[in-house]
Amino acid sequence: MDIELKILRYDPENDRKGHWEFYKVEADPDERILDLLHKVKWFEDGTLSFRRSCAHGVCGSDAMVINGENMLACQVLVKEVSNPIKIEPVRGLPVVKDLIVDMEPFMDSYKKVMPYLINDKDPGDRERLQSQEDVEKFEDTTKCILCAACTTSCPVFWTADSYIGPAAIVNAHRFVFDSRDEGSKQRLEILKDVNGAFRCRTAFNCTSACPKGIQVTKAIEDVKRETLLNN
Amino acid sequence: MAYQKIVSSGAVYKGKTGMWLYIFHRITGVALFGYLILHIISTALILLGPEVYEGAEAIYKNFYFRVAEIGLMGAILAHAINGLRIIAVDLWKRGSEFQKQLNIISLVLFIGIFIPSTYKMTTSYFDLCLEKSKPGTTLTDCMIRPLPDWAS
Amino acid sequence: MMETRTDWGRREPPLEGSNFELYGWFFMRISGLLLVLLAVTHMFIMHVFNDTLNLDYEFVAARWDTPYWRTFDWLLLTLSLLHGTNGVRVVLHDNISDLSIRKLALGALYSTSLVFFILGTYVIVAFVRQA
Repeated sequence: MDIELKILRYDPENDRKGHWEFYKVEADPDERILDLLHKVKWFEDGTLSFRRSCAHGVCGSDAMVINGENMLACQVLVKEVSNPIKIEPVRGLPVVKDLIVDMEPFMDSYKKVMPYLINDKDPGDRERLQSQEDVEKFEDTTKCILCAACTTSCPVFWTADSYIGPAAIVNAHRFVFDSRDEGSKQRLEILKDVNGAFRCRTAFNCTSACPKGIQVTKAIEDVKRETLLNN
Repeated sequence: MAYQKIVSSGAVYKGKTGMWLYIFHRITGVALFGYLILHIISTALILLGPEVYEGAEAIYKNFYFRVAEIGLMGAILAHAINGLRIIAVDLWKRGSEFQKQLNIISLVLFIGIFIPSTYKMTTSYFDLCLEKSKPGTTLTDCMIRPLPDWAS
Repeated sequence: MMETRTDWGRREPPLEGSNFELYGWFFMRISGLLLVLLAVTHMFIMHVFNDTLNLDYEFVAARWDTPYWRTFDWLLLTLSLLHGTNGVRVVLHDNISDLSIRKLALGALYSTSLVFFILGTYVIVAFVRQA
């Protein structure tokens, strides 16, 4: 079938704003949006720039706005979206070129919540054990691939980029509710800042944007209640 | 090389119901804050005695203000019901699981209160207008004249 | 045998953060609940069950003859001003990124709220029915 692609391009050397460019490609309904982008880049217009690495929904490189919603280009099939397909870079982060955004501000927020296990105690000669119930508390948020689909779907983040964003809170949640971790208090301290979790206004855009199906808003709500009750 | 913060696309993000409710809650909230300030001013005039207070109130007694008043009633009601929904999502442990159901319950609740209240406020306006006005006043008069003839 | 290193991830604990946003967030929910009772009751009494066409000096004076309604109205005034001021504060925070302009806007907001709180309180306390 013939697919019409409408891509928001931005060339930092010549553009002051983005401009739309149109492409026509031949595609199978079972092909991914990423395949369409490859066809354009390889056979039609080599200047088109986008990020992708594993191309199988694991590395989190190719989050973009597809037909008005954040998705991973490598995870969405042609038959799942309506034709013509409109593709834009994610919102709220500075655009480097075409569909590539500068992920540094996003990663800075991620680093702020100390996304690693903090435990000064000597575990002894074996691993730290935990029960099935203990794992269930944070299992959902371990699935994050840091693609920024949630953070860049958040209306609060669009207007106030100082907001730490859903992805950072999700990754804080992963350790705050981990029974082996002892840095929860520090993380909650960081998240109760003016730019922290209480900036969330429960729009739920993040939950539906997450390509891994993480209940992002629920995780943020857990963090808010935890801060309220254990402060 | 300059990174461009906003690459204007003119396209609207297809947000979820929650996003539109968030925007709606902000707009009604700011509007109600503005109304609150005006309301404090108009009520404060009561210190200046019955003539001044009732003279000021007379301005609000035409039908255009009744339509605005229904809008005010709707804004307060919607902000209140949506506020309860937000409280449920924030403070109830399972609130975010049931957010879709909460959206529907809020909408039903809003319509269920807004429609009868609008009916009451509209019919009562015309009943009182005809009762207070000179004989021969029609419904159209009540609807279009800027100042009712009994006021001030 | 090599000693097990256990200080991975050790760092200076952050300074004790302010609880302002936490309390602000919680206050919005609690005052919101109370305002659903107060503001919606007030609105239904004044605009739906009674008609504002009948609103006159005598109506308000009769209400304020009882200390009960004066207390009700003062609580409503205070809570709605606090709830509204905090709400607008958050909106300004989200939408004005320039710090000096934001400070100016916040200053204007706080002084407006203070002035109208004083005015409103004065009206409710000082009102005496004129014969």
